[in-house]
Amino acid sequence: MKMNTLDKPPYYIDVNTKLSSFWEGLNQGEFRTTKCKSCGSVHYPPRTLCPSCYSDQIEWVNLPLTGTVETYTHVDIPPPGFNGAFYLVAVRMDELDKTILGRYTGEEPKIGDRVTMAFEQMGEQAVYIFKAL
Amino acid sequence: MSNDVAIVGAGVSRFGKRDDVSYHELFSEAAHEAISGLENVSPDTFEGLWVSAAMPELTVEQAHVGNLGAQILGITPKIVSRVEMACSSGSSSIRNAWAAIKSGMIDTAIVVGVEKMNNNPAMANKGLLYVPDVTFEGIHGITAYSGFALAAKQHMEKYGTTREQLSSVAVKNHSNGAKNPKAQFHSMGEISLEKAMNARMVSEPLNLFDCSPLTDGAAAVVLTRGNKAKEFTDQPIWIKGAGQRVEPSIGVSNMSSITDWKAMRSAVNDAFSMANIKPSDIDVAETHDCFTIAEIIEYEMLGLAKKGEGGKFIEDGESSLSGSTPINTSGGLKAKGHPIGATGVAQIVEITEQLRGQSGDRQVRDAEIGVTHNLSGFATHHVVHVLST
Repeated sequence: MKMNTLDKPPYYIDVNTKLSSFWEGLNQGEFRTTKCKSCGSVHYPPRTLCPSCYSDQIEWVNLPLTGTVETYTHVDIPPPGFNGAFYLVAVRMDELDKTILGRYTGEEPKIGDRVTMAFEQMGEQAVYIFKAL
Repeated sequence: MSNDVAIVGAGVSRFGKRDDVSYHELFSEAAHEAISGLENVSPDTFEGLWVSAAMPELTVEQAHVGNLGAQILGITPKIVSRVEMACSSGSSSIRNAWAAIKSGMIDTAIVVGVEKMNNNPAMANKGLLYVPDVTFEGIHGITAYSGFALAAKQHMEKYGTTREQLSSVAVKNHSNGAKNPKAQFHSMGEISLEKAMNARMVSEPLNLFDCSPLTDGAAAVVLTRGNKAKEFTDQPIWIKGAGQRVEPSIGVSNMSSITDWKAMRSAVNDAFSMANIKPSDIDVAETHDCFTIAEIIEYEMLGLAKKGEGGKFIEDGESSLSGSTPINTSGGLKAKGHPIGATGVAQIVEITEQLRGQSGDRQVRDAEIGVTHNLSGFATHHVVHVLST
């Protein structure tokens, strides 16, 4: 299934802040997140306050774009701002070891499928989606 | 005894599309029913007020509803707040009132949950879309129904839960709702398994009959210190156990599992330990069936079914009105309706009425111990109460 590109993000988002590197990364086709300089925890979503040791000293790490489909659904009734139905996948990301959500482009996925991030514009801002590896 | 907390008054409005009442009137309808049967009540009685409301700014353009509640009731409470924890605002409010009485700050509190959604369904839906982490998950198109669809898909794949089992939850809850004159779908009556299975798909595998509706409704509960209960009523119901837990996650990214809810297991354990009960002691329960899959997973988290066997529990009729543990006798969120802020309060009202023997055609015989479970988000936050006669 081919997804329709959105003209803009469906919600208000702040991208030019302390976490701007995350959004810039997506624009450059990279998946970045924060790592605590104090205790070494890798976070997702990226953060300015480490939830393990409460340090505010963070650095950026690039993560692999790949992961494994944990579960998925075909969203027949899309929320406002999205054009038409789409697959939504929950992907256990390699190295990060957390589950993240994204839309999926292609034929119906299966639980256990290996997938990789692709990038799609929402107006000025790119976001990740997933496709078969 | 003086540190125990009793429920002395409980009332619920008719649920549904309530164009006949304003927000203020809906609030008043439930509050009147909760207060009207009580002895020795005056405006001075209520030292605490909690108003449970998830989205009045969006649907009725009203904020500051804790203060609005004080105006409607004509009271000057020592502690007052509006509580917003999305779909579990109601049970969170009950917990706040319980804690304030336990602490010794106050003797008597009133909790009112209210939501009016159908006058502006687009804004009500928007309110629901704001519940997950909008920046990091909402932006990818997640909704409440697709979040629970992810859980359903995984539960079906992992444990063999079937389409029939999901729809059986809807059939049961509509059957109960048909016996509840205040339920949103009371007049729809019972529905067939075929009708539930073949409804329009919303987010595969969940169809329209797997989902709770948009509802206007209110519910109210009066709670007091144990040694004062008899001043108000000769039928107090006791809060024997209470538990609340939240995952360090507002969406799926930091959740331990999508189909095994650690926070619910912990909240259940806290509440059941405090009340000194085990799952088999439960006579009746109201659980958060926002989607059919949720109720199936809740059987497991409550310890009524083994992990993965929630589907079999409904299939075997264990949760039906005539089963071993009737669940959602009110019709649940599915058929009674789901006015977000009122839901958790309405669950307490239903169990209070069951334990008092006031539930009419849906009465569970000799019910002495009842449980409520209310959740929010993608099952990231849970509140559990154990009530007894």
